[in-house]
Amino acid sequence: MINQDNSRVFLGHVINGSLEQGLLVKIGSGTNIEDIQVGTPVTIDGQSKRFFGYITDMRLEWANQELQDITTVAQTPEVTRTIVETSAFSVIKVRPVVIIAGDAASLLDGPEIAKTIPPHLSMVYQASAEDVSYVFGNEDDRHIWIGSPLALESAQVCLNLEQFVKRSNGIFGKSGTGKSFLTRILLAGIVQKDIAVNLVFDMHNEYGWQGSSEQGHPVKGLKQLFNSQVAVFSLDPEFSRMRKKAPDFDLTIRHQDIEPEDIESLAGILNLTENARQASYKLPRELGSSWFHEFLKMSGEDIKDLSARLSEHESTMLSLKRRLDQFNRLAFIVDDAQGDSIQHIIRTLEQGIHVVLEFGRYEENLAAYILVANLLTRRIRRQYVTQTEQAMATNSETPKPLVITIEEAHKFLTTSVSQYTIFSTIAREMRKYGVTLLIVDQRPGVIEEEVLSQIGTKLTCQLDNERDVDALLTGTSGGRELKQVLSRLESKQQALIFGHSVPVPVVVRTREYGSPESYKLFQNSIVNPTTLDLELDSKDLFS
Amino acid sequence: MNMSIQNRLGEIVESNSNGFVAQCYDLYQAPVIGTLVRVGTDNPTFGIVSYVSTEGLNSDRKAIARGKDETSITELYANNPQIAQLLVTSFEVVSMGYLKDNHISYGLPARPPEIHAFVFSCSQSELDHFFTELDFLSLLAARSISAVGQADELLISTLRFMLDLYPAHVTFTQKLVKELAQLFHSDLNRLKLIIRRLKL
Ligand SMILES: Nc1ncnc2c1ncn2[C@@H]1O[C@H](COP(=O)(O)OP(=O)(O)O)[C@@H](O)[C@H]1O
Ligand SMILES: [Mg+2]
Repeated sequence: MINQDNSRVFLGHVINGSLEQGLLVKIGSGTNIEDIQVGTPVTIDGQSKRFFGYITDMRLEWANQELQDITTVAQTPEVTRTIVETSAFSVIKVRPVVIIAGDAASLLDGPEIAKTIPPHLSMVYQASAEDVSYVFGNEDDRHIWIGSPLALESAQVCLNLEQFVKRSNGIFGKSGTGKSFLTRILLAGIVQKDIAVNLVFDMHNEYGWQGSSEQGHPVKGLKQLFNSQVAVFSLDPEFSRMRKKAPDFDLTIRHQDIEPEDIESLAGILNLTENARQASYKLPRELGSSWFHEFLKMSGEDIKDLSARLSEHESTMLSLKRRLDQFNRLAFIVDDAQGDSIQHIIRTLEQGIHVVLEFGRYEENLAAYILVANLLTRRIRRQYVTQTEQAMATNSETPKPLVITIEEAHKFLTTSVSQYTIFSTIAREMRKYGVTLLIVDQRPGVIEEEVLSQIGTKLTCQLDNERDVDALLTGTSGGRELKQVLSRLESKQQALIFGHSVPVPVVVRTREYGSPESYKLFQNSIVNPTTLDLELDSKDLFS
Repeated sequence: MNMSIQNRLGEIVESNSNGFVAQCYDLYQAPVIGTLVRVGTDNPTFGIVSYVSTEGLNSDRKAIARGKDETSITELYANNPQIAQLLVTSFEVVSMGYLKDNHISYGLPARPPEIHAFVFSCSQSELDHFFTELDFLSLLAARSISAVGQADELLISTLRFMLDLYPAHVTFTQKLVKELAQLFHSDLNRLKLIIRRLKL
């Protein structure tokens, strides 16, 4: 484009607007409206402040409506066009979100929420790479580069991971839009920068060992990138053997590990009645810690007796048993004599080693996935609560933050079941215990509203269901504008990021993942500037 | 005979702030309406011919019909040589700008040109210079109706004169159209009429 000023691309002048509705910017005559995309980050040079925001809408205007008639008067199209151009102009709508420069004090503190707007005729530019890095930070020991903003391939949008893991977060998008790739990037960043410890419920077996792209190329998982820093547990060792990628450990669930709460979390998917749910809580008292096993091997007679003892309807107990019977066939549910592999996972996490739990062929078994994820998460949460409380009482160090990644999150968090699962508890209140969720999901619209409102940062790829879009944006400032942006994302590898850990909502083209160069970036440890200085100093001493 | 005599169109016989009236040296030799003309040489005034008239030299002696036995008007004039002595052609010019320090200022001159000042046709370079900017069009549009008593005839004639000067010059045409569109943005009927009349 022609209007360049210190590599900034001039877009136009502010002519109208409000803080609430955003600013209307008349496009300069050297700029073609077709070159501008909704969602593009911009800066606005006010009188004494610089604003940073993004384009939310655009439209064509006539200074003189009547001139539209002229198209039928002139004989040549050039003349018509010339006449039209005297009145026709294009307007983009810009939402100023933060102030990035003004008085010196605010510069030091980083971007500050815009509580005012720039005056008439302020010049509006496409944000430059420097503007973007001022607002989103630079890749360092806390910030991860996520991708580049629209129309500015050279700039890097970064996410402050330390901020990020303080809350539960979500990655959304319909199938095939790049959720798993984005998740890999975030997980790898968390490992590389040692921000938190990860527990990944890897339903589709794509995060530990290699996953694959749609073109069928294999892409590396965490284990291949970070080897000894990552432990792969598998629920289905046979699957792993077939794939010739042995897991580090097998995961088994002992009968005694199963608690009534786990049954409760399955209430939705097993279609359990209220009575059956209640009754399950009476079983451990009656049958001991292996109640699950004892109950499932009962005969019809036994059930009859049991019902009498518990004063439950026999039909309730029979239906509960019938529904639970499917778990009898799961190979990973084992005898109590076996080792406690849940404890093993907890110890692994405590050592700061990231755990990826592969489901193997249980990928298709939603009940198994929900059971295992709930059961493990509850045990782990208990541990974290205890440790955190102890640490606070003794003023010692709290455990390292834990990020639990779950795919198909809506299965745990739909309104009908979310009250019974541990995950909604974590999303709601677990910040204080240092455990947060990274939920990966294609149907945010069916996730319980309150849980969704607790999500700190949302990274969302294309969604075409209106309900999903609305659910994500309710209560978000600028939601109506973001909807315009969100509904125009490309079908792959593009995401809108908004919420807690980004100062300004931003659309990125997700950084490439899958090439040898992309892996290298995750394997280089980030050079800490202070150590660099020290080295230089010591050289000085000896020279 | 030098250039300035050759290009002479007439001599001013009436003058005021808005413009002037010039008398031609020869009968019927006035420039056409819409022509840009120049008065003076040092700080010349420019104006556009807005009205042409031919009438009896003496205002109380009207012309009378003489051609009853003549076969053509040419014959009539040839057989009555005294007519040319009794009639006079003059043209009115509305002032549009003046040259000062080699720079055209559009608008009315501070002082009207003097009586007997010579009126010249413009050279190509003078035309080019004057028509570089089109700021005089608003003044012309304002004067157009009163000058001829017909809506926009003067304006349209001038625009034709200008377009004929640069027949295939697309940028000039665009510039002209743009100026008109801006000028008449609140009077689109007028704009449409002009565009149609100019066959643009
Ligand atoms: N960051 C990225 N780098 C490279 N390819 C990507 C990236 N994001 C998405 N893709 C492409 O898009 C396809 C779908 O991405 P994926 O993460 O598997 O989608 P989802 O998990 O949403 O179903 C991938 O197979 C890959 O080809
Ligand atoms: Mg996926």
